[in-house]
Amino acid sequence: MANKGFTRGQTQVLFRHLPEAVFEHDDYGLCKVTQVALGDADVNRDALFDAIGDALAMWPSDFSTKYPDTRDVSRRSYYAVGSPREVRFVPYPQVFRCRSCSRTGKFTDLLKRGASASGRCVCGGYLYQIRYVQAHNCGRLEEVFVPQQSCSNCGSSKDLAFYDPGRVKQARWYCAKCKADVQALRMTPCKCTYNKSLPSGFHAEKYLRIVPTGDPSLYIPHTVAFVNFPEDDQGKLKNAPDALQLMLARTWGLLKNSVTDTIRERASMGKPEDADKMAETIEALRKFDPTNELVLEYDAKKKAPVGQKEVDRVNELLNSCNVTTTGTPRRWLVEHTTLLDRTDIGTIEDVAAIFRRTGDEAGARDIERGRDKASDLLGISDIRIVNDFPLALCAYGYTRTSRDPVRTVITPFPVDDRGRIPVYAIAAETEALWFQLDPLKVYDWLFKNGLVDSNVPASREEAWARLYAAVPGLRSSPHEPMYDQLKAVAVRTLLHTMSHLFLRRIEWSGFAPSSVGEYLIPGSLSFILYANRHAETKIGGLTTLFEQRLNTWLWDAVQSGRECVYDPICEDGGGSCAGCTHREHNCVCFNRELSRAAVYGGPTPQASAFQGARLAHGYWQEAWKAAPTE
Amino acid sequence: MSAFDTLAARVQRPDDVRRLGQALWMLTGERVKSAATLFWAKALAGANGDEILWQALLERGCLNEQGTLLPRPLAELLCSLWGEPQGDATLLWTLPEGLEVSGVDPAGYISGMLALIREARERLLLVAPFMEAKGVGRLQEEVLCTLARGVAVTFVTQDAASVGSWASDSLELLRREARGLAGVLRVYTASADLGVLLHSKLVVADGAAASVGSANLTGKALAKNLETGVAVAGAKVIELELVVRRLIEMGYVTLAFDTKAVA
Repeated sequence: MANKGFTRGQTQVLFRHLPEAVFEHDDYGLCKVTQVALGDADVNRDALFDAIGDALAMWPSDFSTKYPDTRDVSRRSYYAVGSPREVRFVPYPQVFRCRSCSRTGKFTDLLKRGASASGRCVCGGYLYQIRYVQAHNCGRLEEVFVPQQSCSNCGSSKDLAFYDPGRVKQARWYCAKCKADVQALRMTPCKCTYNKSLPSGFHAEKYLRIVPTGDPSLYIPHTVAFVNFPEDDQGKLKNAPDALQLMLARTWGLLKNSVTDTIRERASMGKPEDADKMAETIEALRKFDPTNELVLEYDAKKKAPVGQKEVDRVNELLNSCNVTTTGTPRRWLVEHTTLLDRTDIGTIEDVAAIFRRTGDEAGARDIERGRDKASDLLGISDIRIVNDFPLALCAYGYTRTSRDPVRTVITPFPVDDRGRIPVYAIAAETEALWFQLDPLKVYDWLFKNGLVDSNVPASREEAWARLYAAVPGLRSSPHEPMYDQLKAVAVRTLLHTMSHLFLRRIEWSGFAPSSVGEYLIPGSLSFILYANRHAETKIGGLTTLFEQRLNTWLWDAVQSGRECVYDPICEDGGGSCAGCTHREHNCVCFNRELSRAAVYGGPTPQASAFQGARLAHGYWQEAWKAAPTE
Repeated sequence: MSAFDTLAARVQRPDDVRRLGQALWMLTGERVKSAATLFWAKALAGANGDEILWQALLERGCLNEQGTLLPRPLAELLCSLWGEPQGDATLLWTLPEGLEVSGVDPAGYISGMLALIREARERLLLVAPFMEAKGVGRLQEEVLCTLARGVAVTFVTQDAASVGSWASDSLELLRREARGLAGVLRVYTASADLGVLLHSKLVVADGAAASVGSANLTGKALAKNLETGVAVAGAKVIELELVVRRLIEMGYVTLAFDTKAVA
C-alpha cells in the first residue's frame, strides 16, 4: 500500500509504528504494520546488545526463547540492526460491519454476499472496520472470531450481524434477518508457553482477550536507551602497552593530548624500523648527516616516546602509595577517556572568551564567578558542556496486554527476508553537562568524616593517586568485594546526591527533570547530566544554562537542596526521600546511595552502608559563602 | 588401559624416558601433525610406538588445538613417566567467621584459587555448578589480568544459557570487561536435557596445577562457609583437564558464549 500522507518522526515510529502494531491511518483507517525497512544506524553494537541482554534478562527464560543469545558475537548475525526508515502496512482488521443493518463479516465474505468493493453493504449502508481484536499475553493477535454457522432459526448464512453495546460480556452475534440470537463473543483459548506457566484449571489469562484497537495495552513496544560510546575503541585502547597509566594520566589531568593519538604515536615509534616509513627516511638521512636536526629529534623521541613522562609520573605517584600499576583499564576509565578524546567539549574558559570577544564583559565575569564558586566552595573542579554526548535508543520487541515480564512473553519483530530479527535503533547526539569533583576536596571531606586516616595531600595529582590507592571500591564493579567499602559508598553517595540536587533545579534549562538523564563515573569523580532526547536536533537548553545561568543555577540548587517538605522527619531519617533527593525517572541507581547528609552533614539513612551514622562534615559546608551579595 | 599407561609399561626407566624426553623436547613449540611425525618412537616403545605416543600426548593435553606441542604438559608427562614421587597434598580452607585453627589459613581457599589464576600462562579452567555475582566478583580482577596476558579462560557451569540466570548474571560484568582483551573468555553450560548434574569444583591452570574441593564460586563459599579443597599438581592435573575437555567434546556441556567469536 502506498504511504499517502504518512510521515512520522523516527522516535514516533519507534514507539507507535513498529511491526505488528495496529494504528489508525489518516486515509486508510485501521492498519497493521507488516514491516519497517531498516536504514543505517551508527550505534555501538556491543553496547546495544548489552542493553538488549540486560532487558531480556528481566523475562523468565521460557518467555524470551525467541531471541538468540545476544552475548555471543557469533549469534548476533541473527539480528539486523538499523534505523527505522519506511513503514509498510496493510488494512487490519478485515472484519467489517454495516452502519445501517449491522451485518458483519470478513470483507472477502461480504464481497461474496453482494457488498461492493468500495465499502457499501448489500443494503447500501457504509461498511466500517470493527474496532476490536483479540490479543494474548504471548503476543498472539487475532481478528474477532466470526461464527461460520447459519442461523438456527431462519437458516440464513448471509445475514450475520454484530450487536456492539461497548461491553464484551453483552456483545452478541445475531441474525439480521430474523433477529435470532446466534452466540456471544468467543473466548479463544491459546496453546502457548505462557499458558503452560499458569496453574491448571480455569484462568481468564488462558484465553485471548478482546481488546479495542485503540487500547495502549494492545501493543507495547519495548525499548532501551544506552550511552552510545564509539565502537571498537575498547579493544584498541585496552590492549596497548601502558594503556592503564596513559588513561589514568588523562583522567587525572596530567596528559593533555588524547590517549588514542598518544597510543597511536607510541605504537608507530615502537615498530620495526623497516616497517616504518619515517624510520627508513631518518636512517637514510642519518647516513648523510648524522647531526641533522630531524635525526636528533627522532632519536630523542624514540628514547622518550610521547606520554612517557606522564606514564612515569603515574607510576611514581602510585608507587608512593604502594600500588602496583598492573591490571587492565576498566570500562569506566575507557569511557571517561573516550568522552574526553572523542566528544566536542566546551569549557567555562571557552565561553568566557566568546563573551569577551563579543564585548559582553558582564556575562564573562558571571560565568567565571560561577566557576570560582563551584571550585572554591562546592568542590567541583570542572564543569564542561558536551555538545555531542552519544546516546541511542533501540526497540527490540513487543508484548501485548501487559508490560510486566512475569505476565507476558516478549516477542521479537517478524524476521526480514533474510531471516534476521530486526532491531530498530536511533543514535543521537545530545547536550550534556559534565561535572568533575576536586580530588583534594573529596579527600579532605573523607578525612574530616574519619573515613581515611592520613592527612590531605599537597597536590591534586597526589590526591588522585591517594584516592586510587585508598578507595579501590570506586573503580570496582558492583559485585567485587571492594565495591562495598565504606569510603567508596561515601564518595558514590556524594556524587549521586549532587547529581540529583542539581537535577531538582534543572528547570532553569527549560528541561523537566524527567527529561534529563544522569550517568555516574565514580572512578573519575564525575557525573554527567544529559538531555534525554533522541532527535537529530538539539534544543540547546543545557547549553544555554551553562553559558547564561550557570552561576544562578548552581547557587539555587545548593540552596534548595537543603530543603525537603518532609523535614525534620526526612533529615533525621537520613535526608533522602521522595520529597528531596528521589527521582521518579531516569535514576541509574534506583534512588539508592543518596543522602543530603553527604553534602550538608547530618544523620545518614539507617538502611545505607553508614547505618544511620552522622556525617560531621558536609561537602558543601562552606557553600553558604556563595550566597549572592547586594 | 590408557595410551599413557601402555607407553609407561613399554619404556625402560631411566634410559628410554631420557631419550624420549630429549626427542620430544626438541619438538616443543612445533606442530606435531600426526602419529607418523613420531615414527622414531617405534624404536623406544615397540610396535605402534608412534601411535601410542601420539595418543598419550593427546590424552595428557600436550597438544593444543593447532597440534602444537606445549612445554608444560609435556614436562608433566615426562615427570609421570619418570615416576617422580608426588608430594603431600596441600589443604585449602574457607573457615566460618570466628573459627580459628592454628596453622590453618581461614581464607586459604580463595588465596589458593587466586594464586592459580595468577600463575596461568596459557589456559585457565574454572568449573563450578553454582556461581554467584559476589563469588565471581572476588576473582574478577585476577581473571581480567589473566585475560589481558592472553590466557584462554574457560568457565564450566550450570544454567548459563539463559541470560536471566544467576550464573549468567554473575558472569556478565566479567564478560563485558573481558571484551577487547587479548585472551578469550569461554563459558560452557551444562545441558539440563541430558539430566547430568555438574557437581565438580575445580580450578586448573595450564594443566599443571589445580585446586579440587567443595567451594562453589559464591560469595559465601569463598568467605563464610566451611569449605575444604586440595591443591593438586603433576599428572593428576592433566587428568582433570582431560575429563573436562571430554565433557565439552561429548556435548555434556554447550558453549554459552565466547568473547572472541566472529559475527
